[in-house]
Amino acid sequence: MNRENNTNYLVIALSGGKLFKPSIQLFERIGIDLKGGKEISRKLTFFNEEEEIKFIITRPKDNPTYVECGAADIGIVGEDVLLEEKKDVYRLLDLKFGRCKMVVAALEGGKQEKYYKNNGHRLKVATKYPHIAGEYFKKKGIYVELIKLYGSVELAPQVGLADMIVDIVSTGRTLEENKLTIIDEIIPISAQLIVNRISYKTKHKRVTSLSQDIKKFISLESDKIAEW
Amino acid sequence: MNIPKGLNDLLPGEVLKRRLLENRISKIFTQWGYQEIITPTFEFYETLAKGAGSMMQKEMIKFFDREGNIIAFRPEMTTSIARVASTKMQLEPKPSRLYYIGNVFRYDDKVGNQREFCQAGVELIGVNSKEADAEVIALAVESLKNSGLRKFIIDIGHINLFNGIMQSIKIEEKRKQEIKEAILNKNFVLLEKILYFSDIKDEEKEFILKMPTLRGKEEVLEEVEKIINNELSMSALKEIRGVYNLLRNYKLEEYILIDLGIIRDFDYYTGIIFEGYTDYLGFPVCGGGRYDNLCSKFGENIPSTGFAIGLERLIMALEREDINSLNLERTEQYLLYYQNNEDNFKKALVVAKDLRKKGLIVELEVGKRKFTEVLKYARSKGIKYILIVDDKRLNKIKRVEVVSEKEEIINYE
Repeated sequence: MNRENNTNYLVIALSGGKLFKPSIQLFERIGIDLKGGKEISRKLTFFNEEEEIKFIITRPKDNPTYVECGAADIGIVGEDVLLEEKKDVYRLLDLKFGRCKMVVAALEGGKQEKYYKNNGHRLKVATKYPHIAGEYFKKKGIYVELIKLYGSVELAPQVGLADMIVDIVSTGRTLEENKLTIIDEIIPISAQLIVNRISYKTKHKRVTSLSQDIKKFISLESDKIAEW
Repeated sequence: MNIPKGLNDLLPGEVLKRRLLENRISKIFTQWGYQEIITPTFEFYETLAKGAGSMMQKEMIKFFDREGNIIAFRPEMTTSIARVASTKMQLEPKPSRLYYIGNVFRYDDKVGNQREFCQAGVELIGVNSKEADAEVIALAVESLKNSGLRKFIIDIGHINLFNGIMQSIKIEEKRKQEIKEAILNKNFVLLEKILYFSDIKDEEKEFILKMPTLRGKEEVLEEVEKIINNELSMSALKEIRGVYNLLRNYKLEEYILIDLGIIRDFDYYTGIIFEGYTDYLGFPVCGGGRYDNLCSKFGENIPSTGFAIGLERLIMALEREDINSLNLERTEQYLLYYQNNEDNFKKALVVAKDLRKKGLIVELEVGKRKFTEVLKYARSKGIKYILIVDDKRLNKIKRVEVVSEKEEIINYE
């Protein structure tokens, strides 16, 4: 059997984008050589043949889909993706990197009350995360209209498309540059290690030893990881 | 023209495989004494909701009928069969052994967002014994084996193992609910956090975290027996052991693992539960278990157990294991081509009738095409022979093998 469809291989799905670099660093620190995968290239799969590991690079939002269907055994994905779309996967570890916050933000000078008080004006909220935003406002008892966008959400309040946005922020610089301030924090976000529900059973030994290695490393270096 | 999201047209090639699989499986069910039952495709929502947890209730596809009733498409078959068993078959001698092959419907199934898919399964109704549990598990193994699947494992567990532990832990109900939910959602990050802030013993915390990973042969039971001391969980372990020993007598232990971390989506299970896994799928290929209280929701209480196999999933697994596993040897196909006049037509009809009687597949040329065109058509359809009826030969017909174009004259009375 060749390595492309060898069921002995452990398939690990990495998220492209900002989680990619810290993910790679994580594997290197626990002693797994990623071979050709260090550079972001157009190639989406690479192998570590000694350890029988196949790495694949997915779009962050697609990551849990690969894991849920078993196309990958393990995935590294932001909690925001898991919160937005429920997937039937085991969530094993909080990896503590890729830290950011899911927040509500509005144009500068606004206070929460100003926005959350209903003055006969139905609030419009632009977001890439309609499910998370919807749940949040429902819990608060605030009736809003959600506008689903695919990116550059910060633009929406400036051009009058929305009153507020719900989005993830890490440094807050993008918000600042677009004259937005945080009016509430919904939930802290970080990268998570997820596992397919069958792989967790059938490849249990490999999955657990990997996750234990990672866990050990995280608890040792948790302060440094935050800086990644 | 489009069809609604999540539905599929099955083209002839796929149907052939599906029917082959259905035949292989229903043959085994029948040999084990199970009889086929057919229930309606949609029923009152109220009826089906009795067998579904809140998750499944949301997944049901519902509509209003003309009388204003809420109707739902069945999301699985067991509830319908439990309804029939306790309202229309109470007087039948027990046990009733029933099987079904039918389509079920859900919004956004986890695999590829399909809304209609096919399940084949059995229900063994009217007996609460470990022999009954072992029989349906053994039958699940035999069905998968006979479908052609070689590499698979059935994991068996028990619903009360976890229930017992949760009952014995002394913390407030709200916390318990949180723990249950975290386990149901398979969220260990959250589970660990909740346990960290819960006022329970360290051994208990450790065990709850470890439970989903406890899987193996008998040694798993021994390991857990040392830790557990509540009655409910103990009797669950005893039942697992009993069923496992019976399956050993069936000589099926190579297909069986004990798994204390099985979580099933349905609320109606009360005892032994099981799931089937293969290396080729990231989700179970079959699942089932004991449901002793479901029938009582419709009338008479009848203890029962059963399982269902997802046929689309099984086909996927079979083809990933061996791409040809569902390519059966097809009956040879003939095409009858006749020179265009009434006598030849009549003669062709007689020949066709004879060959069909012999069990061969024969199609008649109806397009008045030239022979070269017919040859091309036959080749692309995988037809083996073309038979030519013409004026030249009395009591003789020409047989052309499509691939080689080899001709042969055969006698025909």
